[in-house]
Amino acid sequence: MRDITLGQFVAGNSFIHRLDPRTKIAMMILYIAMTFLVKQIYFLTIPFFYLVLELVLSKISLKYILNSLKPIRFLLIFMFILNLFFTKGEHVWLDLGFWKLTGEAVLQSFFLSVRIILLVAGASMLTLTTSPIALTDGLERLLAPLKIFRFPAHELAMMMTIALRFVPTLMDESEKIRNAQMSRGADFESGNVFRRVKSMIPILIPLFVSSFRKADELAIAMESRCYHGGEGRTRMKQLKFRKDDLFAILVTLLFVAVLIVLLVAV
Amino acid sequence: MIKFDNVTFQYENAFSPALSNVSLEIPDGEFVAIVGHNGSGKSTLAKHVNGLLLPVTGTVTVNGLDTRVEDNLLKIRQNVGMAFQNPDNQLVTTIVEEDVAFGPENLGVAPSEIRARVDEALADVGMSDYAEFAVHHLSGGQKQRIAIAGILALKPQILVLDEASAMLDPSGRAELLSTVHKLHKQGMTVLMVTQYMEETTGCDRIVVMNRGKIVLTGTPSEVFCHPDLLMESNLVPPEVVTVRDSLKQLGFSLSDNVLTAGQLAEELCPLL
Repeated sequence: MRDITLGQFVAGNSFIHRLDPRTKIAMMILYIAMTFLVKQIYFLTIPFFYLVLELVLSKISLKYILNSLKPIRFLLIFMFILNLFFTKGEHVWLDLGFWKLTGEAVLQSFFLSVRIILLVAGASMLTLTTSPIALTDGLERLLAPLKIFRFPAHELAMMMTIALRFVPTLMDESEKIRNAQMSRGADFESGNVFRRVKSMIPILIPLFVSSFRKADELAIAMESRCYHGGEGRTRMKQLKFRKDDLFAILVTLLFVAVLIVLLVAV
Repeated sequence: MIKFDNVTFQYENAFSPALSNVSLEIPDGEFVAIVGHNGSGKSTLAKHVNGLLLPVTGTVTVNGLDTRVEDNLLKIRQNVGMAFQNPDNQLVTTIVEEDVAFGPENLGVAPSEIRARVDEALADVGMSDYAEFAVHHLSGGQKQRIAIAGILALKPQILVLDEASAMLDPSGRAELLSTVHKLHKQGMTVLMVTQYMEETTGCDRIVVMNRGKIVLTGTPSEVFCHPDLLMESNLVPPEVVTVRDSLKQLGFSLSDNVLTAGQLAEELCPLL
């Protein structure tokens, strides 16, 4: 339980794993752009091939990708049905009087579902192959140029780092509070939804109080270790843009180019 | 060298000062234990050493630098490493080696130099094998050693432990204490705030605090000769010392240097 929440990073040493996090973020942005450029379902095969290529190179089992789709299954079904009902079309397949099932509606439903699946699967490729820390690091460096517009890139990254660090600690803490409240007779298991949500209050309030104390102590500890903001700070682990990164970016751009050519040609 | 000169400090909304007219000098390389019961001002004293708290009157200087001067603080904090009570609340990042690197990163040390410092610091606390572990998989004692490694990476001359062992189990406490003694042997000045009298037997000097004042100071054998004064401060000498004193009353001639079970056994055996 404690490890699942730390992103869904699957440690590995594949080609994709070794890429610079900045490269992987850029790749994902380009990939998302690809799926959004497409208006016809058959062109989704190009981002699909790209995803398959990435999956093969990352040596991550398909199981993880399918798992990442699980939380959105109801959304998918809902969207699918909604589009069946509300897409207008010419080719009537079934006429029930109050509602006509059209070929266009079926196509549109499939198109949107596949697009969402590709989007989510692509995003989870990033989190599956990049450790949360590398991801934070990559984001900080990518956003660093925005500092001239007073964008707090360092602060944002530091906040993410600390949040990631404290997820397991707070999970432990909430478990302890839960047990303490249960030993005092609190009931978390019975009753309807509202009662159960209400019964969370005796866990949440102590958790909040202890989080504030933790924040206070952490701030003092950070100050004692000479923390004084992002100014003049160096990093032990330097990100390196290597040949592989250039290669990966070029391949991605190639996919984008092919897609654009096809879109223009059709 | 740490120098407290007539320091008084009062928390906001407090009825009485947490420190009143405290003067104390700790020369380089000394191992000092500060003991006292809750609210005696021992933690407040520790937090003055690196300028987390500033004296209301009087001065605190570290190697001649006044803690009240803002520009001195970074230098003082680099020189005075501080470990706190809760091992969880002082580690900043998820991975052990990245946490150890946090201090030198703040100082703007060059990346290759940070790498070297991190490896050295982890070796010093005997945690090299855990460099790439996630901190939440470690035990309390191990986390506290990582916290100390994080301090060592700043290359301080002074180590302040603010009840760093209070939340550890006995084995974690032993781990921490042996690490601190090892660092002291390498020349580190150590200021250890603690409630456990057993931990103080190996140090050079004990400072007993009560109600914001220093009531007694001396070597462990000197301090433990005053059980009455310790009682007044709501402290109890280590069990071995109590046993030693009871044996003395029964007519055994034992020296005041007997502070640990081993020493007691050594002196007692020839007498039996």
